[in-house]
Parts: sequence; structure tokens; C-alpha cells
Amino acid sequence: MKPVKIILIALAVIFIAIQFIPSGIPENKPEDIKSIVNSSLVTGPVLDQLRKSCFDCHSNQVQFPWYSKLAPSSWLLANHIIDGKSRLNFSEWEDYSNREKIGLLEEIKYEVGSGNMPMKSYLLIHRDAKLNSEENSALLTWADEATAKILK
Amino acid sequence: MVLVIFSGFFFIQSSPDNQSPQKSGSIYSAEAKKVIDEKCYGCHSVKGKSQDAKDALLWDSLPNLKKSRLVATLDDIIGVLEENLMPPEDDVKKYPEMKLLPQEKKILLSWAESKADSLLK
Repeated sequence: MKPVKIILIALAVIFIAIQFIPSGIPENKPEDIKSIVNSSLVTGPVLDQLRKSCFDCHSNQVQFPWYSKLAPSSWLLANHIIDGKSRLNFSEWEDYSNREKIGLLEEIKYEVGSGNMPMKSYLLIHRDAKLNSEENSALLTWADEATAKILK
Repeated sequence: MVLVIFSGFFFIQSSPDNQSPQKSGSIYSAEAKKVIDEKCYGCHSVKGKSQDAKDALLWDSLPNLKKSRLVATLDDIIGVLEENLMPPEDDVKKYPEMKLLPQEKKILLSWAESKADSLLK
């Protein structure tokens, strides 16, 4: 058997074998009263934008892409989701104190305003999540307004 | 997203050249100011050597921040303290005397929490 063929077979075996390793992707949970979706803080187009551009890493309502079932991409995805939710989880919004909410809104302004979010690696595959300039401005304005509401 | 920003948060190096935070009377408790002067101000002031630390936090700028930004900064400070991220481990190895003692951490946490609470009232 030629070495190239042996390598290809070995790679195929490894690829199949790693599919049996659990990815660790957190399961979705039903949205409950704690979610920002159920607060008066955000509605309409901005909420739609959050769902489209942010919820896949920052909520319990992830739209799992096809590659979420395939290792090793599923492992990377699991890391992104776990890390994203540990920093901000819109589904658990009401669990945050007002101080934390303001901290998160300021962080949203910084990350969105500086173009760090949504992450470029995420946008490679989720092109519809990219924020155009109007959507970007709307999100920043919303974050300002939401902050003002909390500070009232 | 949070919080990563504070990569060089407190540092370490207290020298006779270091000046205290300005306008401190209005924002810091006396106890907190003492800890900040001794353990944090060396890096987080305009005279600090680490640009990362200065980008993350300048104590002198706190009194000039708008309310929301100040609350967010206090929230970051609390997060960093709770996770024992500052002073950075590597720096404490070099300057063990700069380690934040439990009592000092408590003082800073108490100050930051009460200041944030007062802004949110």
C-alpha cells in the first residue's frame, strides 16, 4: 500500500473516531422571564439584530450550524459559546445586577463600536450577522438608551 | 467581554515619585486611597511604564468619567478583584511586597461596591 493511501486512511479513521468525543456544546434552554427578550429594555429591530448577530454566542438560544455536529469544528464552537455566555448571556439578563448590566452595556458599546463584535471568524460563515453602519449605530444608540433607563 | 480589558490593571511598584490620585477626596475613601496608592497607582497613572495598564485604567481619570462609564469601570474593578487578577501574578513574583492582602482586597471591594451603589441610587 502506498504511503499516501495509508496516511489518508489513517486520517479518515481519526476523523471518524473523534466524532465520538462529546463536543461540550451547551444545550439550548427555553427562554424564560429572565431573558432580555422578555424585558422592556429591547424590542423591535434592535432585538432582531441581537438575535441575528449576538445570540449564537451570548444566549441560551443558539442556532446551531451544520458544522456543530462535526469534530473538530464542534469543539471550537463549544469553546466560543461557553466563553461568550460566561461573559454575557442575554437569556439570563435579569440575573445581572444593575451595576453589571451597565458594565455589560458599556462593554457592548466598546466591542461593537470598535468592530470587535461580532467576531470576524464568526462572520466568515454567518455573513448575515454582520452589522452595517445603520445597524451598528442603532445598537450603540440602544445601549445608550438602555443605560439611561437603568440609571434613572 | 468583559473584562479582559484589564490586563494590566493594578500593578505594582510604589515609589516615592508616584503621586496620589488627584481629586481623590470626592471619589475614594481614605482607606481605599491608601491601598490604591501603595499597590495600584504605580502602573495605573500617567507615569506608569506599561501602556496596557494605562489603557486599562487610569485612577486619575475616574472622577472625570460620566456616570455610566464610572459604574462600568467600578464593575470591572470589582470583577478583577473578585477573580484575583491584579496585581498580575508575574509582577507579584518579582515584588512580593506588592501582593494585595485579603484585608486590602476587602477594602477596595467595599469601596467600589458602595461607590457603584451610590451612583445607582
